[in-house]
Amino acid sequence: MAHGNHNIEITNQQFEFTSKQKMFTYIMIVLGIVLLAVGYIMGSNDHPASAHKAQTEQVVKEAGGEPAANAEGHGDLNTKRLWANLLLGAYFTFLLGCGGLFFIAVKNVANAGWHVGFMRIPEAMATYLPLGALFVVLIGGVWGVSISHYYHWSTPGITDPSSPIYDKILAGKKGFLNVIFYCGGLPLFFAVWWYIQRKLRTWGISEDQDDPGLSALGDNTNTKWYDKSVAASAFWIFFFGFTFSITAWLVIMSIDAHWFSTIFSIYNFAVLWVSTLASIHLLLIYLKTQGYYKHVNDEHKHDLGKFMFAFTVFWTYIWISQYLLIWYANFSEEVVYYNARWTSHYMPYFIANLVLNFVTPFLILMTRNNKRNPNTVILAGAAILLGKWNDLYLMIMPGVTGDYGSIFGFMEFGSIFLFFGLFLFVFFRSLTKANLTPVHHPYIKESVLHDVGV
Amino acid sequence: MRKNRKFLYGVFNHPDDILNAAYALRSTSNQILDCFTPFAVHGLDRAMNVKRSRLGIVAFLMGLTGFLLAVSLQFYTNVFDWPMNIGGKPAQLAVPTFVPVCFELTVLCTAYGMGITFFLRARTIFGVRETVFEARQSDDHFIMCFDMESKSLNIDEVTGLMKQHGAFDVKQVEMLAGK
Repeated sequence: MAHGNHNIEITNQQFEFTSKQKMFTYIMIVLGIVLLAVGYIMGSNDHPASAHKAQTEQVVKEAGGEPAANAEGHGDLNTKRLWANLLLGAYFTFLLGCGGLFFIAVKNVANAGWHVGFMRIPEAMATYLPLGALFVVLIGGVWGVSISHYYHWSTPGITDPSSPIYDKILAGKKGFLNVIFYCGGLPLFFAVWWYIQRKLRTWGISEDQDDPGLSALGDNTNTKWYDKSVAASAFWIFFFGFTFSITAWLVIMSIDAHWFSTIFSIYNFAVLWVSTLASIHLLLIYLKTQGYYKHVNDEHKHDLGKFMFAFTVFWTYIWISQYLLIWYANFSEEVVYYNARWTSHYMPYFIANLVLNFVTPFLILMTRNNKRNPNTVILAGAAILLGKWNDLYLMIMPGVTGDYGSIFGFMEFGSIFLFFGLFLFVFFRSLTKANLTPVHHPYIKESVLHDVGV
Repeated sequence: MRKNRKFLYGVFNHPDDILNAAYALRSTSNQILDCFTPFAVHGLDRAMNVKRSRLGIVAFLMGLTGFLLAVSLQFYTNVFDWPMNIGGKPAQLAVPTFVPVCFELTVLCTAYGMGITFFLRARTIFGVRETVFEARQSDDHFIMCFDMESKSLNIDEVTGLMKQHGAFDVKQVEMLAGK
């Protein structure tokens, strides 16, 4: 670190979305669609649905719960699997969008300064939020609830006492689990998030364009834009806490509509936050290899690595909290959730979940040198992202398709390629729209001089 | 062991000054004994050539102690000495039930062990007299001190460098201090 030199100049770099990167994202999107199509066609040619379905129903019935998850047969299992994979991809990238905004908001509220050097990365991630929210509502709310009734609670007539498939428990939940809440309520929440995201973004860019005459870093004493951002962030975190919980319940937890877990929303938040931190770190490492962000050094990466390490443990804490209480109490209506994931073909995924999300990153990121070394961080970040995908797969797939979805196929890859291609495209495009470094941010000097010590 | 020791120290007004002085002194043979600042001055530890703290190793050992304590406690009580049937769970090694206690005891021992070790090592634990050169070293002044008994210390050179980098006062003092 250059000591004592407090007139550090940062060349005001502009990100260039090269044709190579564009081509990469296009290929990812096209490959994703192709793989989804191939997987879908292969799945429908196999005609495995009836055999698997019977088996699954039996397993589920033995487990004592959620018989109708597969029994009603709205659409065959192959189509359900396609839908579940699309929901997974949409939801995962949507979480990354939320996470980018949460990163900015929580740093604003904490008056933190160390992240300012690379804060355009989470900001650009957050610009995916409206698109991600749109996909979640379209795939989950419109296709899953309104058209194909893939959510068990959305089956027509299930809350009607005169119907043969009347379900008393789901009828009791219809005030919350209904189409209006999903297709009307959620978009309302997302609109507020989007509004805040837009505001934080435009204020940040206005701050950058204020007083272009300023030369030295940290000369900007005008905190007008920053103060506004702090207030908006504080409101948003408060609002997000409630509305994200509702989102997680509706989009993911209601797949197993009879089952519920009070820790589920914070569990989803753990998934969001850990995968966001891993993504920020990986994107930062990538951008540094492209020659950007020269002033972001090992010190910042060390802190990001600490975050990844710490919240890996946080995720595990939440995971074991949900598992342990259900395991201990052993109520059949609660245990059914883990029955479908442990005493089934999903057991390898269940074990991989702990290995990828806890053991691997925990051991890799434990030492100081590994947190500062890009290669080990890439290894840990890849394990975390893969593990979080696996975690969401375990949340979604058993409830939608039963054991049918337990064999890894083309569709799983396709959905991930498609949505991550889209996400990266939006991310890179947003990066080009602003200076890579917010040179007039009040904390930019603190960020450049950031030092975690020996 | 507290005994009378002779020190040379400079008083600075600004964290940048003490940082620059520390960097300037790196190229000489004079070893800075310690710096006293009212807050953590970023980069000062690097400038003083402070070696990396071994507190992490202590933390690991403390954590391991806590973990083993938890495992042995639970194993002895729940498996060996008095196995109990609680909710039909396997009496022999019901691993998930061990997790919370292991976690808590690991965290507890790590936190307390690290904290106490740090306070001991930094000589700020209860009962240890603190070394005070100037009352304002914990307010708005920055102190850089040298051991006068050190053979490699060149008093004139150090005084000159400190003054050159903004020390407004350089003093010699004999006081009771721990090693």
